[in-house]
Amino acid sequence: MILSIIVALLGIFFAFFIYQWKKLDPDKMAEKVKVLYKISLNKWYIDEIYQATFINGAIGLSKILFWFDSTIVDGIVNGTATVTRWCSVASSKFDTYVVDGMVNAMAYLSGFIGLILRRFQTGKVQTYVVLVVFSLIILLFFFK
Amino acid sequence: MLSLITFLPIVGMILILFLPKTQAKIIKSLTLAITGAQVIIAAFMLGSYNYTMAGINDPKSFQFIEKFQWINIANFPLLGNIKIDYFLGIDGLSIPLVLLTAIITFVATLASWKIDKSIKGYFALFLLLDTGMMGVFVALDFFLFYIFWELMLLPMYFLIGIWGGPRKEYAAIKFFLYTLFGSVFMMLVMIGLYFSTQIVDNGTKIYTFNMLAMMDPKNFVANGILSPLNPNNLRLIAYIALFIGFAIKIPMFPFHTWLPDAHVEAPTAISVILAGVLLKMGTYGILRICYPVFPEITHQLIWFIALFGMINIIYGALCAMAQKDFKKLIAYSSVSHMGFVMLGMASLNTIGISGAVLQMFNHGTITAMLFIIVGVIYDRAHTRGIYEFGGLATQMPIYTGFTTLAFFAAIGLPGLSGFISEAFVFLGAFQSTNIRVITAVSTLGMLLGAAYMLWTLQRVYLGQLNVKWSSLKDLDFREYAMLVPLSIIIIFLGIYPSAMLNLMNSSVNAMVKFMAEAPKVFGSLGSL
Repeated sequence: MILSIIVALLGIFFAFFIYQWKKLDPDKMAEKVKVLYKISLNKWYIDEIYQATFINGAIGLSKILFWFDSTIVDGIVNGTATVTRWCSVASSKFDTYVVDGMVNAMAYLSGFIGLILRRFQTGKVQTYVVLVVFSLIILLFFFK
Repeated sequence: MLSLITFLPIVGMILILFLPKTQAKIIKSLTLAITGAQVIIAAFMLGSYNYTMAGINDPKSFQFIEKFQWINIANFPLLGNIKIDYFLGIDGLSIPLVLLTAIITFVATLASWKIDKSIKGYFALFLLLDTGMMGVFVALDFFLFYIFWELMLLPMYFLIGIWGGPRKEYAAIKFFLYTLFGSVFMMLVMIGLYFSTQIVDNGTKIYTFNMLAMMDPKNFVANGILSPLNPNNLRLIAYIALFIGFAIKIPMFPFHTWLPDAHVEAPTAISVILAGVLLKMGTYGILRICYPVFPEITHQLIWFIALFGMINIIYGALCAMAQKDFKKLIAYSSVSHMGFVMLGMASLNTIGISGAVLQMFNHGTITAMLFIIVGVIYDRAHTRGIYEFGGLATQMPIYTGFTTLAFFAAIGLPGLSGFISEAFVFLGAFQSTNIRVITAVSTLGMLLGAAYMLWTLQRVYLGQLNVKWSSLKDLDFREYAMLVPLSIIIIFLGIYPSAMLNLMNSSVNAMVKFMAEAPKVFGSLGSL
């Protein structure tokens, strides 16, 4: 405690020495210890350091986190929605082309078979007789 | 009594539907009368409330009980007799929230006064929403609870989607799907619990949705999927699923992104309801269902609940600080403040849980006031950009006065209600040794809260007045009618918090006692 009082008194004495009794020229003194003078004049740059570290740091962090929130966290939410929509489009395509495609394919297939089979339906009794005879021969050949 | 306060809005809704849509004034007055009547009923219930009855897990000490058989199907194939009760009742956990719902809905009706687009539809949906919210806080049957929970979704979807801002459709569907996503989990757990709980009814054993029966170890079914008697039970997974269902509503990080969108796009009155009441449904659900139904799992996961509370507090505050939109800033501040509720809940002691419930009430009133404040300036200036204002204090001194009060209450200034609840949360959480570090880090949130609130106060209300805003008028009568009651509550609970703390005290004590004893009871069942 005593030490700090001595230091303080020394400082007060020094200030009196320069500014009150004017034993030394303050401007010349400032010129000699320019760096110290500047630091002292700007309150050790505490405000500037505080601004640069705590205030800008907190604001910067808040901006980064908000970017994270709106891009990453919300991106996942919206991404889920997008993926779900893609899946719905894919399943819709699957439904139209594969599931319904099979239904339509059955229709086409029966139509196609019909196209072939209509050739045999000529209405001529002679043709039918020939076909029946041929078929019988083939059947007999197989199941003799 | 509880049926009256819950279904009165539905009666009002039906009356409104029969009114011609040109009678805007009658529709509004009717809604105001209904919500006013709710406040009176709530006040009456408060007057005749018995402070010594605890509730929580004891059906006999709930108050204003109404219990009727609702659904009764005998000999249903595979399931046997299905009986579902209409079971309402309140205890110290729910009465603060019933009061809050009544007050906030009344204030929100006043905030809806300037709606000019299809008024009839708006107020009909508004009253339906009211019933849903009130029902959630009074239902004691899980099935009924779930119905009210879902009932609230539908009007909310339309209220945001039709009467909202520029991105209303996006916000509405996001809110709806997100909450429904959580509800699906909730329903699965509900069904699991149904098949794990049996009570004796007329000599035969039947499954039940009764929440209080689910908390009683003697009702567990030996092979139930969520029964502690079953060695292969899925209680841990069920707990997490149910918790997520509620966490979406709180909203807990990382399920919170529906909130800034919904709050910003919703009209002022709906933002007030969203922040004032809906968010509390999440934390209420955790305290009402997650905690007492799964006490042993709660103890296992308590550290994570506290951790997510801390993330909400710090992360929400930092995100709020980065906002340029006034309303979005308030929305993120809600995320931060709901973190305090979670931290308080995680303490598992009387002070912490009292603080959490009190914080639910206080956040409801304070944030409602903040959203009204944003609404006032948006009504006049049609913009919410924080950087577009400045010096409003000289132009609108009374408005600035109310704003300062609300801001200081949100920061947690001693003498205002926010301080008491935050202090109680920290007092409780510090006592809980395993979450002490989390609590210490969380206190940083109070500092950040002060930072973004005061910075906003400085940017919007102090400094040089922008000439563009030199014609803005100060508050009108309707705005006084909204802000004055909320301010009175905030100051009253700041000076005399016992009014609210005594109300919940016996219930919170019963809860803490139950939670402390339950792990032993539930744990020993597992080895049977």
